[in-house]
Amino acid sequence: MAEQMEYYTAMDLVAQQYEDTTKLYQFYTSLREEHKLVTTKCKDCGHVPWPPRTLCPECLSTDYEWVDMPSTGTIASWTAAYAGMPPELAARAPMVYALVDFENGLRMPTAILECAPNEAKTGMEVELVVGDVQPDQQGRRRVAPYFKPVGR
Amino acid sequence: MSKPKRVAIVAAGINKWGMRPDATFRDIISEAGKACFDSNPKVSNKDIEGLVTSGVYPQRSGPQCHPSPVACEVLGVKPRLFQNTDCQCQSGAVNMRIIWSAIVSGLIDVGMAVGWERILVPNHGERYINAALACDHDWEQGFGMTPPALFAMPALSHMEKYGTTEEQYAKIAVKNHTHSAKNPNAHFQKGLTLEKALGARTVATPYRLFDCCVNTDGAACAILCSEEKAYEYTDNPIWVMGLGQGYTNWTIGNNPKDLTDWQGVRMSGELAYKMAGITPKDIDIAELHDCFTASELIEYEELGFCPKGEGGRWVDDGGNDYGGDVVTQPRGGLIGCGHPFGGTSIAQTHEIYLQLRGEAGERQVEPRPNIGLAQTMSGVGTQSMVTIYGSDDTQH
Repeated sequence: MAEQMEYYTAMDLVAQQYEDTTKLYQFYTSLREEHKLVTTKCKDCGHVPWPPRTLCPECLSTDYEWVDMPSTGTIASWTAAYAGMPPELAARAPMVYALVDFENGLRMPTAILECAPNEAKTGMEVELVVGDVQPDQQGRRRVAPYFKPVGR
Repeated sequence: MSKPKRVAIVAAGINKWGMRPDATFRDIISEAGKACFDSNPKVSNKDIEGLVTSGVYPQRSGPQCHPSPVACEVLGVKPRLFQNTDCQCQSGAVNMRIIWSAIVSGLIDVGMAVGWERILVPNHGERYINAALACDHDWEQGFGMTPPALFAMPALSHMEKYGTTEEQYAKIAVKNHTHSAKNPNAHFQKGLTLEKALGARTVATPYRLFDCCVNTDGAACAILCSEEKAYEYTDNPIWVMGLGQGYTNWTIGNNPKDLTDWQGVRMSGELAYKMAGITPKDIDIAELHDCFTASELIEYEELGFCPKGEGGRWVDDGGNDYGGDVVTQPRGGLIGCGHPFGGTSIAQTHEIYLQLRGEAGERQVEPRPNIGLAQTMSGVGTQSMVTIYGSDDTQH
């Protein structure tokens, strides 16, 4: 093999985010274009899950609508990771990772940006910040829902 | 449920675990398979009617898909039941349960479990990409969280809720490295001092280097058979007494809100204890899933070896070591032996097989134990499998 091959799919840890690659593309459109965190709500039983679903795990309905998630939350637990991350993130170590609780009862894992390891603590208030991650195979922008300390 | 037919372990073997750039998938399987057949010359490769492999990453680190017929060809087995199975770190336990089920149902009388991983690819970045695959692709992997970070969060929660200390976590690492120093097949055989453990570099707070197990190349095998065949092969079979698997959820945001509440582990233990007709007090030795030190500590609590929240105190009291209530990780656990995902549960079985037969040499638990528990888990306490084994004495 003369040229180095790039294994786009096998090495791609980031979600597909566009209408031609995922049914849940609206989540990413809202995040990318409106800086808004959303999830699905079942139109039949009202269940609101995290992460968003095309199939309601409670009543098996496929009829859903998009609802806003709070843009702030509190840290339920956290860690500062100094090693063990995939290559692109290893250069950014230490990364602060956390589980964030929202007032609607949902919880999500995320990275806390603009936060030194000695600043992070359980119960800290954080707010949504949209971060760019590597583009998809077609070169389109992809984003992720990160958080940062409130007011930073 | 009517009482199922009894199934016994009649042979088990393991190879040298560690960094094995010298050995391919075929080499690794050959070594452990040979050791397994050598452990009981009465069982021949021609006797094996079913063979199940458990490997989590063969398609990335071989690369090799469909590994079970490869193992059959390598070991000279011509089965009428074969498949590969992947249940992340529980893969080996699930593997043996497939064989157990096939024996109980009468499909086969003799089956072999072959578990392995060849995971230490030369490129470290590739290793950490592989590590991230243990999370959900669409909703978690992109953040780059790998197991140290995922398991660090309940470790912190346990410290905040119950006052557990980093020193108590480190004592678990010291115990496991001390045990693995007496295990020639282990990845690590140099022992560990508390001072060195507490002075090591940070991986993901509160974990330092020795709080974490390492990825390892290695394999382990076991041969299971029906009760009709067991005494043809050995006077001292080891019996499967109970099996249990627990599940609460997959994505980490949906784990129980109290991160120290490992319901999946608890459920797997309760089901296995019930099937075996025993309680935690009956367990003499336990091989637990110490992917990280806090995992082992929380498992003590969820499996009923000590009350909830008192894992740290149980460590300080030495309840978890030789001379204590339950000898945990006599082979050295994942922290001392390393963790070849598909092989780990079968290596736990291998250790319990040796210990219950009184053949564990320098690390033999005395008096010879009668009941051993093996537990492996995927997810952060949310998916777990427990298998309980009994010596032949427990059956009479």
